Amino acid sequence: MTGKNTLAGNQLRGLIERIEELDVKAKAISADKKIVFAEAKSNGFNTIIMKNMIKRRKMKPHDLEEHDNLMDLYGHALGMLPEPPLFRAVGQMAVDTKARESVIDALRQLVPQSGEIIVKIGDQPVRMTRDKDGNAVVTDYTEPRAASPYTGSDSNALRPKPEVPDVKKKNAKAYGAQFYRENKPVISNPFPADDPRRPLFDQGWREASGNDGMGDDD
Amino acid sequence: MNYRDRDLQQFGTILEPEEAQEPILPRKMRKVFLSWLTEIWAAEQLKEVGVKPRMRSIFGGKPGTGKTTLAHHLAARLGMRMLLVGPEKVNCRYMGASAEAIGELFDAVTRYPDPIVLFFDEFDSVAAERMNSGINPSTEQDHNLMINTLLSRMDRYEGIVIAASNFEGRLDGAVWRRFDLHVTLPLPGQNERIRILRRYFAPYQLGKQELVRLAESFETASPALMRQFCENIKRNIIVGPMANWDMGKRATIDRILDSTKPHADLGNPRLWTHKSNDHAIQKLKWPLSRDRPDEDDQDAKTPLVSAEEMNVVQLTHARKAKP
Repeated sequence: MTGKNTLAGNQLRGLIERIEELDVKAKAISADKKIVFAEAKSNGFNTIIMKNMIKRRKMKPHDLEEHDNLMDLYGHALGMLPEPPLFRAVGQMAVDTKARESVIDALRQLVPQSGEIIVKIGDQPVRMTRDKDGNAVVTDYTEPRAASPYTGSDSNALRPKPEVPDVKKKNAKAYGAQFYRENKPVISNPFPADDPRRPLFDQGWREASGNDGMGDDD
Repeated sequence: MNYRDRDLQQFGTILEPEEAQEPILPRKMRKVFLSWLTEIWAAEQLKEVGVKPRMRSIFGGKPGTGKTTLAHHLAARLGMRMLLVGPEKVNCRYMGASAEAIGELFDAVTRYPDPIVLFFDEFDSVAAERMNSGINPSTEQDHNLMINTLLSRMDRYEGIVIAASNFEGRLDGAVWRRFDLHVTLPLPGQNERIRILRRYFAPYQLGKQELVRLAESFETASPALMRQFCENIKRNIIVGPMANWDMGKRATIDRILDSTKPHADLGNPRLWTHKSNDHAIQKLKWPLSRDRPDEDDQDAKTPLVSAEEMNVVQLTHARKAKP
């Protein structure tokens, strides 16, 4: 660039002048904003909260949710937030029947249309469902007894032991033959490794099939 | 999974009895194994005369002859799970760690509350002969320590141990002697090949003659190779139409043969020489069918040789007929 009247010099001046104009406008706008806030304050609104709300309204919904959750989390972690009433009531459910009822009432509204809520606190678990008219129904809930996959007193809790059929030793051979006739392989032998009926079952299967259980004969 | 299983799984994979397959073996071999099973079952009776059943067996044989399948089947017959010990799990990089791993393996198996079959695959990589060349003394000493640990632990262990190796000659002599049953699994014969093909072609059904011819073209093949061939055909049948491959018989067979090779130690089966020109392939009904073929009809209608080959036969006869 050699002089102020060159082409590039003129272009640069144009750009800078436009920015200066915008700055003037921005100053005017922020002055207007101050006036709006002053007006709000004179009407009794808290401008700090208003500014906060404006910030929140600018945020995308999921960012806002994350922000709020983190605020809650951090607040709890620092012991700044009191325990929410529902949680406090749930904690007292086991001892206080009133609290129990208030929790159930609160949860009634949350029962999904096609689902259930089961609350297992205290002596008697309750189950909340909706009837066909959409009203929440609360019933006592009895937990189904889960069949233990581990039989006996085996504290090592290994893989579930298959059920050993109640077959007498003298009938084990016939039992094996029956398995062959039912087209079950010889390794489907239900007796455990150290059971004396296991070899008898194997023998019965072999005798019925006419082979050794290692594939068909040629 | 519980902590006892995890205890064992650091040394390999636990195979369940229900997952076992029937081995396909010549009748003579099957007798050997059935008598071994009977012997194990007769432990009580043997005890009365002061002997124990043989509990350790070593399977030799070419790669892919079904050593693992057989061991798994035997374990399943006995109603036991099988721990397939990976050689990489007991060969450790630090001095003394391999011997320690062997010790821990036997401890874990002894602690395990259910009886279990201990199966060492590729045993030559664990129990290679002890060395005393002096070229790399610390490595040799470490290996010798592992073998000595293996020997002493095997002596004290009462459960069933099966080892498999393609290179029996490389095994340490003393380890070898600890095994009471040494069996070399042969390559399948014609009858076994037919059964192997039938098993691995399922659910597709081949006619009896088709199987016989195909089995002949697989002479010297290992079961593993035949399985690969059959499974690749099935894969092609399913995937081919999706990928717009040429699903003609020749194209498919050649594609499979080009991507499956017999092991260098084994012979080259006839099929790999003639490829889709092989007699067995020419006579193979295509596409494969899942229905049971009407064998008698098929054989009655289609002569064993094609019209083209018939001409050759006639010409030869004609030449012979000439004085």
